[in-house]
Amino acid sequence: MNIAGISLTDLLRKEVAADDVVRYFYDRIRKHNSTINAILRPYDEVPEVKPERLKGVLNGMPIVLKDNIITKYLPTTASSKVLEGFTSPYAATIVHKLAEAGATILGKANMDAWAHGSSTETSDYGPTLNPYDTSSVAGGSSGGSAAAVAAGLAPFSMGTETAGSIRGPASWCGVVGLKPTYGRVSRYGIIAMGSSWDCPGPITQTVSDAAILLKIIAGHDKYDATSIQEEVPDYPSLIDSERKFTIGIAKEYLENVDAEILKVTRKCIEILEKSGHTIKNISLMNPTYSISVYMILQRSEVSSNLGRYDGIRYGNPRSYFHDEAERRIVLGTHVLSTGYYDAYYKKAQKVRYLIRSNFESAFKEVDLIFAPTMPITATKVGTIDDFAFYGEMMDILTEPAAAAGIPAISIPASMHANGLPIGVQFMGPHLGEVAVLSAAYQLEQAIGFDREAVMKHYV
Amino acid sequence: MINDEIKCVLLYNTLMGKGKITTDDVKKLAKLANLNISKEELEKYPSQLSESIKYVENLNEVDTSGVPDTFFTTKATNVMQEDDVDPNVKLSQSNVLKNASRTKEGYFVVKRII
Repeated sequence: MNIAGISLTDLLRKEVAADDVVRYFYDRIRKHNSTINAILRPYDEVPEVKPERLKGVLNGMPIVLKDNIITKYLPTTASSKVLEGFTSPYAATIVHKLAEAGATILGKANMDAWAHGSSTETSDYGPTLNPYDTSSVAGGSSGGSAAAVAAGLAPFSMGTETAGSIRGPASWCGVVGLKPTYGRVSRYGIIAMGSSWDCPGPITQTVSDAAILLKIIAGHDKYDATSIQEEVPDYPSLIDSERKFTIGIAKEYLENVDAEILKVTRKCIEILEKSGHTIKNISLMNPTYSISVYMILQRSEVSSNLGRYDGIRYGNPRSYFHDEAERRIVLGTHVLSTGYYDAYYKKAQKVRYLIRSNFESAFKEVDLIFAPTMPITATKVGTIDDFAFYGEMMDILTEPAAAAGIPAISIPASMHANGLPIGVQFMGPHLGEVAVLSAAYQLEQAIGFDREAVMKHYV
Repeated sequence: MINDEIKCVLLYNTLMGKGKITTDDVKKLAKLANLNISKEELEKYPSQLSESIKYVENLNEVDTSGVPDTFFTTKATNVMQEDDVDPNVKLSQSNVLKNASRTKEGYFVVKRII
């Protein structure tokens, strides 16, 4: 059986026993994980498929979860030594939902420690390498989740995005990554980074896979006061392969982007236009403001959220925090402190309001916005040392949608001449996942990106 | 008025401190945030953090007059719940204590404060 690159959609249609599938991917992790370091603390033995899981729509199939998603029987560390050996007394809401839907947890995926980063290099357990080129990074902070799917170590995974942490690694690893509307998916049991930004979301082989998982994890949760009350649509059946959209292209999102990525983006725009979509040139706020907004607000929220790690009730002492976490806590504390709060925190909140209303105005003229996901392809390991704030710079094109809390998806579009994947993204209005998924599905079908080519390195 | 005076002092501090975080600042902030910053880190952090602070000054280009003071991502307002115990989110004492580095007779042990 060779199902390394199989989509979840196809897997669920296939006549194959969950036990065999779980063993298959367990073996692949044993064989190939040491090359890319996608999975933390891999199992020593094949995990059992619990019989009740076979009743759920996921039919016992294996998933890997980013290690900031709290599980009850596996440790959760957020890739930080502060939480080494920590086993939570409760599980995240989305873990319950995935279990009820029948998923078998095959492992916890590596990430930037505390989700602080865009390359998975700040992990205390080593970086996750890009399956396309192991001298390059997988991206982050959900690098392990993306790399696992790209290399065929797991057929689908869960990541989280604060600003770019799903779409970024998905783009750099040539897979699909969906950031839902903020509040669409419960954050209860997600180790908090930026509480007004964090979104759990699927990283998958295909767009319809993402729709299947979104339907499972979405929904109001009484344990997350920020979760949205709206009904969860039947995303998989609502993906529209025919509907034509008005798609906005903002010139501000094409500036300072690698030439080949731009070419690929333009090619995609042509494809969209040829298949009947209306392309409209629009203007959006300069994404560099989103960098500043994100830098200030995220680090403020981080300084508060990481305050709970006092080493008293659980975890190791705060001396176990490494550079990146410390820097972010210090900066966050600074911009929240007396004398600086107004100039930084309050100002950033106000600009964030404008970013959101800027998108709201844009969505009166267009149904969706299309852009490259990342300005460059995956960087070499060690590049982060050249930047004072690597993450925020890399995520320039993903930060705005995160600031506004709107949904966005990245799909692989093409290969760069340097051998690394190029991703493109659709952004939609608040709770506009159906349109986002539909347009992405149509483009995905038209492009026909070969996601299995890379897996011949992981045979 | 007292309020205006305080505002002036704060504005002065803000303008004076703008674009730069000093080693002293890092030491004070580390104390506030209960972090141990090593000597090597203390040498690196001020310039790295100053770069971030310098960058975000671009927000001054954005006119935010008329924008409300408060923001929440989903525009949600107060979310209320009954003040009842939900058995689904109760944890046993042993469960709660199981990850603690030091416990004694069912209590978390902390550093002496008083």
